[in-house]
Amino acid sequence: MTQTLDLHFAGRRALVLHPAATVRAQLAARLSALGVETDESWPADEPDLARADILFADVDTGHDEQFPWRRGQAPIPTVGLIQSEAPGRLAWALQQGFDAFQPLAALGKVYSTLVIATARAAERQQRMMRDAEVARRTGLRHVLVQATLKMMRREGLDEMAALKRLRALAMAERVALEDAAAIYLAEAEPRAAGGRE
Amino acid sequence: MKDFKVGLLFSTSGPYAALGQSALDGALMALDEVNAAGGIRLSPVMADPRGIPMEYERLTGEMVQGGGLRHIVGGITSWSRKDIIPVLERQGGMLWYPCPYEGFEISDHVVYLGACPNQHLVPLIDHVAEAAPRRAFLVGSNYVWGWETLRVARERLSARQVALAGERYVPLGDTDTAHLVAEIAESRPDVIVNSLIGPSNHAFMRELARLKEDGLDCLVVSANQTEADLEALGPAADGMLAIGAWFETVEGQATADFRARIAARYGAGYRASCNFATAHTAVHLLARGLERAGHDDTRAVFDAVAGEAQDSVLGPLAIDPVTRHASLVPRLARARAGAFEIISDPGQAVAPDPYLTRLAAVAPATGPRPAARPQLRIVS
Repeated sequence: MTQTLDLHFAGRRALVLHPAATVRAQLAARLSALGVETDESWPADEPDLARADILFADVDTGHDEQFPWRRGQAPIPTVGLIQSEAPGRLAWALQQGFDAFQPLAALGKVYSTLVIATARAAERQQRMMRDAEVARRTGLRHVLVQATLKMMRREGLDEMAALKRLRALAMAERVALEDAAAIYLAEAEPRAAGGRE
Repeated sequence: MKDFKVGLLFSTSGPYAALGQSALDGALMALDEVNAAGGIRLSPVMADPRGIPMEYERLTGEMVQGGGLRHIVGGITSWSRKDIIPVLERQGGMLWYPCPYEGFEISDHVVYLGACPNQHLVPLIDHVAEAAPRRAFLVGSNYVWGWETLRVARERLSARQVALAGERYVPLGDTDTAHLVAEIAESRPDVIVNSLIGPSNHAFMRELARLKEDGLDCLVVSANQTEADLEALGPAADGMLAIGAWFETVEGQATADFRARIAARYGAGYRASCNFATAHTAVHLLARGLERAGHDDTRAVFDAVAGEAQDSVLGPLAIDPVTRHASLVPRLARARAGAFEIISDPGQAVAPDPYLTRLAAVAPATGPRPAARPQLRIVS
């Protein structure tokens, strides 16, 4: 179980976006005990995120324009720092899609926040990659249709037999069915250009 | 002279009474030393939670109610500490915790004087791994101390290519360990990591001693053995390798003087332990903080002693201001004829690393070793 969790954070950099210097200092001290170096930034309208491996951002003053990514698509683990519990602020924080939350009253528990944020961010990245792959393959549907039709015509197969052969090609090439269809079309095209059809 | 009340919250009855009594004895001796020195006056407020978790919560509440008392020296198990902390967070107060524990905690209401894994289990396992054992068997009490210490042992050993012959947990207080010993007889490990505490530890070690008489050649190592366990175990402890921040046999004049004072107070036959010495240190450190701060505000008292090298009966000691844990000297000792023979004393304190963030990677093993199938199962 623990093998799959990221438990060691030494050598990483955190960026803390919070208006209160004492909060930034306290969090930096706690993080330093875990081997994490901290950059602080305020005001935080255009934070320098290039060096950050993990982001801590104040929920009370936060807004979407602070971050150069769409909601829920941060490339690094993100943590919302909670002070007030104003419902509107919590609603924004949830929409922003923070990976974990850290109440300022419990900075002593920042290790568990790091573990949770890192694990949740990894899940999120995997989901994003899966979603992107599904979208890509959906975009190739017409290629699959074209390849199936071409194979039916050229090989004299019915649609089920043509699809079955494309699946076999996909397995042999270890690619998605839509990619196998593209491969088939690419190989078929030059011959088609030769006017043999 | 300023007078401060100090809570002493140790279980002197119940399943781990021997450990609690030892710590309480150390704390009371230090209290008298502080009062004799004359800077401030400490008055003890004592309570016995009898090893019952809920009693720690109730008695802590009674002690700190109304702000009459803000500092408690106490707690043995992690379970007890975790029951004390929420009360101190709500009502204000600070716990001076004198026992080795499994790490992964920093509370602003605790000063951690016992060792954490980079000061006990990690150096112990690294020492054992140098002899290149092939198979290890892990056994512990079924609560957070057993789980976390054995997790560290398992990961550290497997990084060194030591195969796991088994990992078993025994309910707290359970003395039926025959099935464990039978399994050990079967799997023939070279090393056993023992994180059993109290009566389970004693039952297991006695059964294992019989197995050793029948020819089992196996090193037992542990990070939670004290002189109190040696008394209970007798010859069954012989050969066991222990690590601790203090043993009675630590060399040097400071230990000799300390032991003379212990003998004068409790008798020549009294056996002190790491818990005794650490609780003693806790009271002296608290007294220094109170004296310097001039009042018992928890933050002021902590700030008055944190980050500064202190002399203590444990050796050189400092409390890290951020992690609130003590730097300690990890000593390795082998049990023989009722005493711990020190086999390695680095003389220098090791800084605390409660989250194991500075843990150096293990060097890869030089050659392939025959791998045994790990058999993982939780017995509860």
